[in-house]
Amino acid sequence: MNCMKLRAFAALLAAITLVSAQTIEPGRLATMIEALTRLGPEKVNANPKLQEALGKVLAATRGTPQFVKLVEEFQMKGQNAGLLEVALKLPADEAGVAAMRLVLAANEPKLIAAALAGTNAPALAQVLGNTADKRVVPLLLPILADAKGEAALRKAVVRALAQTQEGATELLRLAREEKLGSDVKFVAGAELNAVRWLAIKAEAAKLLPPPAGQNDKPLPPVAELLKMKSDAKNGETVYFRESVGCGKCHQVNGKGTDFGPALSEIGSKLGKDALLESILDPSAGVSFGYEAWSVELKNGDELFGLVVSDAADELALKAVGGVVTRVKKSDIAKRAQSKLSVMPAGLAQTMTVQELVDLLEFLSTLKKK
Amino acid sequence: MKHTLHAIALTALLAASALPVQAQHNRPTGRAAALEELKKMTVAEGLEVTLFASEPMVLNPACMDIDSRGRIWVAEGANYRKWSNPPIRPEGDRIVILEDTNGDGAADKATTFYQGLEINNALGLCVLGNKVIVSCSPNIFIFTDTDGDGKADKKEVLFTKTGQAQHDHSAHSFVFGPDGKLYWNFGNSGKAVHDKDGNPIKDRAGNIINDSRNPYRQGMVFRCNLDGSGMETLGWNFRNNYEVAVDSFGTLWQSDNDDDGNKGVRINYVMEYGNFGYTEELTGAGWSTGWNKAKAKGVSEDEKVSYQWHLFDPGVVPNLINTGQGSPTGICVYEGTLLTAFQNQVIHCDAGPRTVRAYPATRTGAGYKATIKDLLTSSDTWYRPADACTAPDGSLYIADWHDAGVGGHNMADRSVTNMTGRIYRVAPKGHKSSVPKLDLNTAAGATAALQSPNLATRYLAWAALNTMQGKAEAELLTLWSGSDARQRARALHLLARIKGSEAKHIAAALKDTDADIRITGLRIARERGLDVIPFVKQFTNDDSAAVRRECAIALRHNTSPEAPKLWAQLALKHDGQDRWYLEALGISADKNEVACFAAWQAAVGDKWNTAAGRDIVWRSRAPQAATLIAKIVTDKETKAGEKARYLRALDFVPKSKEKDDALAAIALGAL
Repeated sequence: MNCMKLRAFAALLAAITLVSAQTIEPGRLATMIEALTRLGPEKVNANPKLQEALGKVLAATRGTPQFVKLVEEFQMKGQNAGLLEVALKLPADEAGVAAMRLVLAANEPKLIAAALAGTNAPALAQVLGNTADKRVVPLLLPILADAKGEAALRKAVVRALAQTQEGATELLRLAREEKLGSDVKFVAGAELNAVRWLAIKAEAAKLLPPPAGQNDKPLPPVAELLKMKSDAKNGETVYFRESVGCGKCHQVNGKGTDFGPALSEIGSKLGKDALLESILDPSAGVSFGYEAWSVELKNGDELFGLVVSDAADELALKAVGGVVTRVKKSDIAKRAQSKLSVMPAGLAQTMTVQELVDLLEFLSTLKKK
Repeated sequence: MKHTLHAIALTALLAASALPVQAQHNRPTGRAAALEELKKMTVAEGLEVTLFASEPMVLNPACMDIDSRGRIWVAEGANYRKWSNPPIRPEGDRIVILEDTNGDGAADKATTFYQGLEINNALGLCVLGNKVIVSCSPNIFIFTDTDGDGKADKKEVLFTKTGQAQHDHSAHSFVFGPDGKLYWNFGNSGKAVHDKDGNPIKDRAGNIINDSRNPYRQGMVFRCNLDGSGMETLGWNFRNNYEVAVDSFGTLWQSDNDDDGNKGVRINYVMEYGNFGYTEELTGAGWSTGWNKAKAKGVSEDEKVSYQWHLFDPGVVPNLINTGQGSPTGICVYEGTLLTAFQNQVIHCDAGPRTVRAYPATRTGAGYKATIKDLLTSSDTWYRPADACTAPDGSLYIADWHDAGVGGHNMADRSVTNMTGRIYRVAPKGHKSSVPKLDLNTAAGATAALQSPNLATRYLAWAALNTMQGKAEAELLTLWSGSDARQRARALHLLARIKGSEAKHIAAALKDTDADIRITGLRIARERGLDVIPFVKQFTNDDSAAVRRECAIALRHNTSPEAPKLWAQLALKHDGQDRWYLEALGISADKNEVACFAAWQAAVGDKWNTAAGRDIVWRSRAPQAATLIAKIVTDKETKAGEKARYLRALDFVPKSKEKDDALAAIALGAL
């Protein structure tokens, strides 16, 4: 190493030391956040020392979910770059989605458009979709018009659009006008055939029919089905298979997404007959607390999912996929309970009869250890 | 317009999806099938299970009681949930009395006590002499058989607008307590209790009983007089506490269901007036908040449950034991002698893992610890125990809803013709059922009946002895001087009701060497409205933390100027570890926090900063506590995890200058 380089290296080291001197030891940082948050904006803003402390805390938490909470709690302006950082890092988490919503609220479409041209664009499309905010539709649509664009991004855009009724309507229009590129047609079909807006779903079934079912013949009688030979190991594979998707909503021993009731011990509770019915007709008996709700906000946005917390002034709704959104009750225009289970009917059609039998076997082996 | 379209499409979809699975189950039914399936059952060692009744004699037993003649009363739930509209049994559900008239151990006679649509799927049945309390949300009915023919002649309502019809989380069974009172509960679709005319009810603590967080919420436990007066809210913030069981000391036991799939079913010792933490106290936030905290900390599955029940918040009473995934139903305390291995244990049905279990509990500090042991399980996946009751001869009866699922808004036997339901008897091998002869006309006969393991018998004995008053004193004193603590407690409850002698008998109990008897004495004193201050004074140094716990509860809402000082004395005895004791102190200080904390500070002086003292500070809701919390959090010796715990405690301290100053000191002190 020559002298020049050495000097530069020393300077770099000094810079790093300087930066680390400004960071706050994690325990202290946590304590400061707890205390400042409890005091709230009014009391903190009235005391310059506390304001200074808040500034330090904000700098120290940049890029983390705590940063998002602080920006939200203290209604801080000009933090979009920091928020976007978290949104891109955690596109499918409550914190990332909350950060994205704050950026959308700041109404700086140019900032988002610029980011959509960057390397992290697919993650950005994902988190934009997870906001379930209809304002993202005009931001995302141009990407679908450019057939030469990167396929990963274009697919992410389709998934994102399918999360709002407005976006899904646009997708359907593109399909109708035969303007959907061949790279995104399949994913658009899969998404639109699974939306909760029944009119859209019905038209999608015609325009973009789902691939022929694995099993569109009537099932054999239940007694016969239950007598068939079965393989639990294969059943587990079926459970986590993308096209069947049990694991997308039900955890088994910590594996899968935490959305519907965990099934780690379901075999201790239900026999195969009851398990089969739960798959064939999920709406027959929805567990208390797992009913689906649709919530309309005063600004016209619509949320759909499970109510995971119904506090005095805040409602927390968990969407399919597990992202939790918290809304102020004063922002809610209307909420209505769906008569149907969030779990889609017709899952048996996504597998062969043998696979269904294997799946039942796998579920019935899930017992308390 | 959008919504109309939705609705039409929704209806179409519902109709279509419902079609292929409405087929009837094709399992064999009837007694022969039931006997075949009986072979799949496993019963605890030394015991045998026999079939007492099965379909078609009894269908879908939802709950059960046993009268003093050993007859089994069952409330059926054929018109369950969507099968109640239109009802698959148009004449309505039944309350049926099953009887074994020839002594062969199986029911041979069924009498319909009452049938009607208004009792569809009742979830509670309590036989009290010629009256029967039927819990069928939104109503609580009292039926009377005035002429003794086994048929209801009169129907009245005890409470109205309590709970949602056809909802498992609504009103459950009433149970007769040793104090001559009724105990009952509802889960979190219970919402409120109203009197027979539909008016809201104010409980003895002065609160309107509803779940609006003022202060009660979610599932609750109640005590009231036989006529429904004198309502008390004994515990709240449960999810679906299904039935409450009361032992002879007046101690309450319950199960509570988790949010399905979360492996969080719990058994509780219901410390009176406690908050049991299903939702977060301040905001009402649900389980996910606790779960997120647990996730952030990376705790184990087992520990996660404690976060979900908010057990790490000050003001939440601990759980007795966690039993994992389940769908808990009926519960009782077995105080018979026939099933020796289960004597004095809580017996509990869990329809999820398909088991009837016992939870032998022993006192530890101010609370209990318990273990789990199976009593009756089965490899039949339709076995769904719904209720357990003790017969006059000490045998245990189990009602089996018998279905592919646990209820939970669905059922697999969807027509009256193919519906199943079973009643089993569990007794020592070769036991022949019998019914002890009942003599309620003499003090000796009634005192003998009071010793029955069967609650309906005990009700009759209690009523007779309470009427006899002084004439029963000698017989009751004989029982009181015996060696069985539970029988002594039963005698004590009646001795303490002999007019003019109350104080004498309570005083004797308070001097007893058995802590459970001292506890019972304190409970009676409180219930009888005696001045508890002199009693508490006797016990501030009692060896038993459980007795001191009971003193703390007795001091709650006491307006005597001596109360804060006594509270401080009890607080000084905290060992810094016993959460039950700490929560009892919290319950005790309710609405009197400032005076209690001041009295404690005066007593402890500058020696407050010990493990026990910090606990008292953590649990207190007095503004003065905030100042000490700031000292603890800014102390270099305090560990990071501990700091978060104390900051959390500050959330429960009401808005005050002390609290703001404490927070500012902490925020700046950490820099």
